Formats: sequence, C-alpha cells, structure tokens
Amino acid sequence: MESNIVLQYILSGITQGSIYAIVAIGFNIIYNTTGIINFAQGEFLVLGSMIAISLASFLPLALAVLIACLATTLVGAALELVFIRGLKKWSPVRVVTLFLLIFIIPFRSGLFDGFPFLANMVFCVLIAAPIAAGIEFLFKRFVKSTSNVLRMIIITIGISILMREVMLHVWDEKNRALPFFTGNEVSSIDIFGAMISPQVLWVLGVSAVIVVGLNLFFKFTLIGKAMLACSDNKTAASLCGINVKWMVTLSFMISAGIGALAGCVTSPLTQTQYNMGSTLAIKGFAVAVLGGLGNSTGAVVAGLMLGVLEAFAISIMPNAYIEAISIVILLVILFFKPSGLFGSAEASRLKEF
Amino acid sequence: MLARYKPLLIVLGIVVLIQLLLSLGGWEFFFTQLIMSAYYSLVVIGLTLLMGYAGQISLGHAGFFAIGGYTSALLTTIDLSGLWDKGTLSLLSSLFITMEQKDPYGNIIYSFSPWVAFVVAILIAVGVAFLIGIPVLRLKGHYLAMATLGFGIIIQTVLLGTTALGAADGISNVPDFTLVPGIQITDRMADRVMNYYIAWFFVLLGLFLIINLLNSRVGRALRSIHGNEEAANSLGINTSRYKLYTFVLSAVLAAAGGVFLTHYLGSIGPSEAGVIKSVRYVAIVAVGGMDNLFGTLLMGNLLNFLSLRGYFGTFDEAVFGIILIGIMLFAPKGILRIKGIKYLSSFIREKLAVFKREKEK
Amino acid sequence: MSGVILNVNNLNRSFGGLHAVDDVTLSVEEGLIKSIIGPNGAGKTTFFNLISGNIRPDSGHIHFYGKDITGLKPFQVAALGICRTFQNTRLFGHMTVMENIMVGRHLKSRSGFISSLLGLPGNIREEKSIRASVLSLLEELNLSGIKDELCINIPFGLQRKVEIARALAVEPELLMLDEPAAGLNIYETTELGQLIGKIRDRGVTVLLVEHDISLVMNISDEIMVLNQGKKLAEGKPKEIQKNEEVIKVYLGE
Repeated sequence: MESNIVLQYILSGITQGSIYAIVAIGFNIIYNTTGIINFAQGEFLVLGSMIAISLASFLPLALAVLIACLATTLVGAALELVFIRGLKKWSPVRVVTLFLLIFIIPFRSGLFDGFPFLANMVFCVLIAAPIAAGIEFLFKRFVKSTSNVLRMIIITIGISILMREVMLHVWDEKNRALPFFTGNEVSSIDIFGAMISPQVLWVLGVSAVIVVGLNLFFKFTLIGKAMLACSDNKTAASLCGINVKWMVTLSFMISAGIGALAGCVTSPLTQTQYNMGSTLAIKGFAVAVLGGLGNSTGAVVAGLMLGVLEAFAISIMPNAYIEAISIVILLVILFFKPSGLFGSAEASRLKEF
Repeated sequence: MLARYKPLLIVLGIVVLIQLLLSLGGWEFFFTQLIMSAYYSLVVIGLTLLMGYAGQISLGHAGFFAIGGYTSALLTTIDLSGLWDKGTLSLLSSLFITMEQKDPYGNIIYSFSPWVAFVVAILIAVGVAFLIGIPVLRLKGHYLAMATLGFGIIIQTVLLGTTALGAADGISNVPDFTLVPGIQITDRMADRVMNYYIAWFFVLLGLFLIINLLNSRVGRALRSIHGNEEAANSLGINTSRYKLYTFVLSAVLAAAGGVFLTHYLGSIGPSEAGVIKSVRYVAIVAVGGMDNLFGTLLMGNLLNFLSLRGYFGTFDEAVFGIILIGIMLFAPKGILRIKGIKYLSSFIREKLAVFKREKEK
Repeated sequence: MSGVILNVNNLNRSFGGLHAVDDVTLSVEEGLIKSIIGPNGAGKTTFFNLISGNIRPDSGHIHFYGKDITGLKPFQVAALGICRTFQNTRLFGHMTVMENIMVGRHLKSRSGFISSLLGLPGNIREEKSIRASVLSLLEELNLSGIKDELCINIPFGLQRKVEIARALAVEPELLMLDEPAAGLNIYETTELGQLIGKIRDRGVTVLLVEHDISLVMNISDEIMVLNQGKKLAEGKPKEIQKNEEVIKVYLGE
C-alpha cells in the first residue's frame, strides 16, 4: 500500500474514531456518577445535529450549533428529571417535558390539519395538557424509585426509542447534513499526500477540545471534583454535602451537550439520519468497554484504535460487514477482559452488577 | 398433579372461543394477525423463561428468530438440481428429504423439505446459542445486555450484507410447510382456521414444556439462580450450566417461531433480526410481568395483534418505547399486578368462590 | 478417634495490600463442632469463602477427606459434601419456605433438563420423593407451620433457621455456618445452639464462624482464633479462655 493511502486511511480512521471516543466519554460520564449505561447516548448526537440543521437555515452556523448544543443539554436534563430520577413530588420540568412529548403526536400526525394553524395548535394543546397532567399525577402517586440494573437498562432503551420516534416525527427519515464549517464538499487539504476535507480538522479539533476541557473540568473545578466524588462513593459524597441527585442530572447534561457538539461537527461528513443513534451507541459502548468503562483516557485511545481498524477493514472486506467489526471486538473484549484494555481498577466494580 | 396443566386448558378454551367468535361473526380477517402473533408468542414465552425465571436479559432474541426463519427459507428455496442428479433427487424426495416444487418462473426445482429444514434450523440455533451463550452468560447487567444486543446486530448485519440471503429483500417464495399429509402451514384463505389451530397448538406445546420445566428440579434451580446466584451455587447448582441451557431453550423456541412464521407468510426479511424487534420482545415480557408466563402470553398477543393490525399507525415503535418506560416507572412487576387490576381479579375470584360454594350447597 | 475431614494448609489470600488470610493452617476432625472466632476484620469470612470456593486462594491447599478441593467452584465443593450458610441470610425471597428447602435437595436428585421439559414419569416420581423428604425435615425442625410462606415474609430468626434447614437438606458431611447468631435474640440464640448440637449428633461436622462468644464457648468442641488474618490460637474452649494473647486481642491493649 502506498504511504499516502495509508495516511489517508489513518486520518479517516482517526476522524471516525474521535467521534466514537466522544460517545464513549458520554457513556463514562453518566456511568461514573450513576452506574447506569445510558442506551440513549447515540440519540444525543443525532438530536444535536438535527436541531442545528433546522436552525442553520435561518441562523448563522456558529449560533445554530451553539443553540443546538444548549437545547440538547436541556433535553438531557429533562430526560433525567422525568425518567431516571423518579421524583415523587410535583415537578414543573416534568410536566412541561411530558406536555411537549405528547403535543407532538396530534400536531405531527395531522389530526387537525383541516383547521387554521392557530386552531390546530389550540386543539393540540387541549389534548396534550390534560394527558400530561394525568401522567404527572401518575408520577406523583405511583412512580417506583428503586433502581436496579435491569430496570435502568430497560428505561434508557425506552428513552432511546422515544427520542428516535420523536425525531422521526419532528423531522423525517431523510438524510440531512449541516453545511461544511469551512469550504465545501470538494475543498480539501493536502497533508503529506493525503487529501482530507477541512471538516476533518474541525472534528479532530473539537474532539480534542472536548477531551481536554472535560479533563480540566474534572480535575480543577469544584463541581467536576464533586462529580468524581459521586462516582467514587455516593454515600460518602452526599455526607460531604454534595447533592448527588443534581450531579446525576449534570452528568446527563454534560453527556448530552458534548454528544450534540460531536453530532454537529460530524454532520457535514457523515450526514444525519434519525435512526443512526443506536449504531453509534453500540460502537461507543464497545469503545468505552475497550478502554475500560469509566476511564476516559482509555476511551480516547480505544476510540482511535477502533476508528483506524474500521478504516483499514474497508479495504479488505465487504462494506456491509464493517458495522459488525466493532461488535465482534466488543464481544471478544467482554469475554476475555471485561475490565477493558486499560482498566483494572474498574474490574472490581464489574462484580456489583 | 394435573393442576399445573389447568392454565393450558384455560388458554385452549380461550383460543377455541376466539375462533368460534370470529368465524361466526364473520371477522375471519383477524385470523392472520392472530396466527402471526401466536408464532411471535413462541419467542415471548422462551424469553419469559430466560428473563423472568432465570433472570438473564437478552436483547438479541430476534437474532435467533431470524436464524430459524432464514435457515428454513434458504433450505426450502435453494435449487439442488446442480448438486445431485435427477435420480438421486427423486430418491431423496421419496424419503421426504427433498421436495419438488415450482420456482417463481414455473420451472421445477428440488429443494430440501421443510421438516429437514426445520431440524437443521433448530440445530443451528442450538449451536449458535451454545457458542454465544457460553461466553455471554458469564456477564451480568449492562454487559450482558450489550453483548446480546451486539449479537442481534451482527446477525442483522450479516443478513443485510449477504446476497445469497437476499440482502435487504430477504427470501420470498418460501413453500408451505406440510406437517403431516393434509395439515400444512400456509397462508391460503381456505386453511385459515386450520392454521390458527396449528399455530396455537405449537404455542400450547411450548407452554406445556415450560410448565413441566418450571415445576421440576430444574425449574426450581432456575428460580433460585434469579433469587440469589451465589446461594444457589453453594447448594450445588451449576448455575452457569442452567443459565446456558435456558438460553439455548429460549433460542430454540425463538427459532421455531421463526421457521413457522416464515413458512406461514412465505417470506422473511432482515428486519426480523432488528434491534427494534428484540427490544419489542423484551418490552412484552416486561409488560406481562417478567415471571408471569400467562401474563406475557396475554400481553404479547394483545400488543402484537394491535401492532400487526396497524392500529398504532406511525407511532408503532413509539408505543413500545412508551410501554417500556411506563411499565418500568410505574409497575415494574407487570401491568397485571397493578393494584386496580389486582383488586379486580381478586374480587372476581372471590365472587366465583362464593358462587361455587352456594352451588355446592 | 475419627479421621480428619478438612485439612487446610498454609492458606493465603490478600486484597490489594491487605493480607486477609495469612498463612492459616487448620484441620477439622470428623463429627466435631469447630468454631472460628476473632475480632472484626480478622479474615473469618474470607477464610470461609476460600473453603467454599467463592474466592480463590493466592496460595495454599484445602483438602476434604484427603481430596484436594483448592480452587474448585462453589457448586463442585457443595457436590463433594460441604454446604454453607451466609452471614446475611441468602434465601430465595420470592420462593416459599418449602421451595427453598426443595432447592436444597438438588444434589440428591437427578432429573435433567430434557426429562424435566418433557415431564417424564420418573421425573414426577422423583419430585414426590423430594417433597416427602423436605416435609419430614420441616417436621423435624418445627417449620411445617410456615412451609407455604414466601421467605421475604417470615421473621429474621426463622429465616436463619430456614437457611440452616436448606443446608441440611443437602445432607452435607461438613456444614459451614457463617455467623448464624447475628441478629438473633437471646432465646433464638439458645435454640440455635441446641440445633447446632443436634446437627452434630446426626453425624454432621460443623464449622462455625461466630461473634457470640458465649454461644461458641458453650457448644464448640474446638476453637481457632484468627487475628488480622493470622492464626492466633487453637484449642479446646477452656484453653482458649485462658490464652493470654486471645484475652489481649479481645480486651484490647
């Protein structure tokens, strides 16, 4: 193989791999504070880029991306508050989230399409509001807040289905993409003979910023340290006056936010479709496990490894099977070294499941 | 001793009742969906055994369903004329190993007979279940969930990427399955009622086996594993072996469902192996109450029937997502154990008992 | 004098830097009640887990009736005739008392997976004999009254007893009880002492880890004292009571 082609493969592998790493870090952040694997992690990327794509049609790109990330962060918080925390009190956030979720059904299914827009809206509100209130009552009265692993797995799977379906109904099944951040589809930069799109540099740059930023956050800020303390020992953390519940919400917000950002920078390259979240999630999980669940440095290394491996695999095996590579790696790692390549301290934690 | 089979009789009674109702009422078009959901029930009851009683989650059971369906579809549509000469083929046909049939263009071809295909499909499912189960069942919690999910995705990826298996189109023109002469799995309108009973016969057979298992030494061992694996182990129960056997059994039931449904519909596509399908099975088991065989049977058929009739419209997947979350948040023990329903059923039971007592007087 | 049932040689196990079991040697004679005592964190439960196969030792050997059982899995150890209970009872909460004890008959019955599936007649016959033997055990231990209760619904003292009954159903040669008196009141503890005595009289060797010193002194034939993973003393209850080092450990410096 010629050296510039090899370089080409490596670069495209690193690009893809850095996205996997971001997804894996998203898994890790939530896993560290809660012990939950959030099966809906991939959906955050898709949601972020979908929102950005819609906003970019009338806003400057940078602003669209910024708002999309903030919005997704809020969605992350809302999802945690509604579905994970299981509050037994009346919660405005939950009512609003539920209302919006239900509102979509009559609105997007065109139940009242014959009416003028305003009437349509009013009818939908009239339908959604009492239902949301009813469900809120159910929450107040009946929600069970014991957390066992099987239950959490199923809830986050449910969330991922729900997000996917909401995205299908809000947007549709078409492939969409954000415009290239600099240049366009055909512009390319020559790096030692390998031609790459400038967007690749954006992906690499943003990923690096996310990784470094998170590291600094966890090492040097009080909140970051508090979150780490939760991962170490929840009871001890709460005795130290750390509000563990809000740390959990915060962890969902951060993973949603970085997920959305990653989704936006890759959108021009990979395009965005409502149902790509689950593939991303399983690859991200493979990377998270490969790097040692909870270990974010490990996730970066593992992500890059998987990306490069996939890039080279394209040259030797049918395209259709590529998707399976990461899963085979995941299975192999799970069987032989579930603590991952770089995680040994986590090994003990495995037993708690 | 026969008390354990009483629920089977009740199920049979309901099945017959529904048939009479539909036939007399002229709603025969419902049979198609009832037959399909019966075959899906085979997956569901197997998964109930695995999840509810042995306590192991699987997000990959659609994979086994597809393994069954695809194996049988491939073997019964493959043209063997190139492999053996005509004499051998007609000899094999008289031994019921191969079968003569017309391909879509009207040419005569020889393929394996459905029974052979069925046996091969089950054997492959058993083999794959062992192969996957031995390493996977060492895992717990999220790891087990992700590993089984991965298994399902691999199956679907392979199906989508292999042209011999029809890639995205799947395999169609799968012949009818003649179980014994005169009784065949087919979607012919005239044989709808018969097929309804065939399908439910297989479900009852599956239930019969599982009830036997649950009421035995092995069933107790399984439930004890769910209760406390370490304690079960210290009583001499080889927990990993029992988990494995249960996994294999549930895989066999799923594969059998796949074989039958494929022959019934005459085709199978890669979506049958999809993650969505696997998640759906898990949702049904959760709604039914995990360790409640008849609860999952009831809810499974209800949901599958509604879904197959298209009553959920474009919100089909969303409905299952909502069900998953709702059940886990509000009624982790299944919908049939929600207080209101429990009161209602105990109320009915009480009244019945009173009624019985008075009758005896 | 009867033979040695359990022989433990130079057993070691550490967790990270902590030497939980440090070069412990022990032999248990058939038909006796042998107790292991020691302050909190002395490594008693770890020692138990090593014998029952729940944890693997770093080094050392365990012999049961002369057969090397080091590193066997718990179910294999159980199959050889060693059965244990747990510090915080581990009953199968959502099964009845009767069913719990029937699980204990697992090793004494044969039906396999396939024959169970098919519900073969031999299977059903076996099920009847399991039921009969469990019923007589329940009778013997005065548990018949609660046989159909779910285990999560019965009081703690009875849970302890049911767990011991379940272990007895296995018909072990060696019964290992991990702090059976923890959480019991004084009457229940006395009753437990009598029960353990009865078990020994049936010919079952008992290895006991216990905090309740008076119970241990009353019923044990021999006692081993562990401290910080090491064997501190071994002997008859009388000797242990007089041992200065033991007194020092228990009363503190």
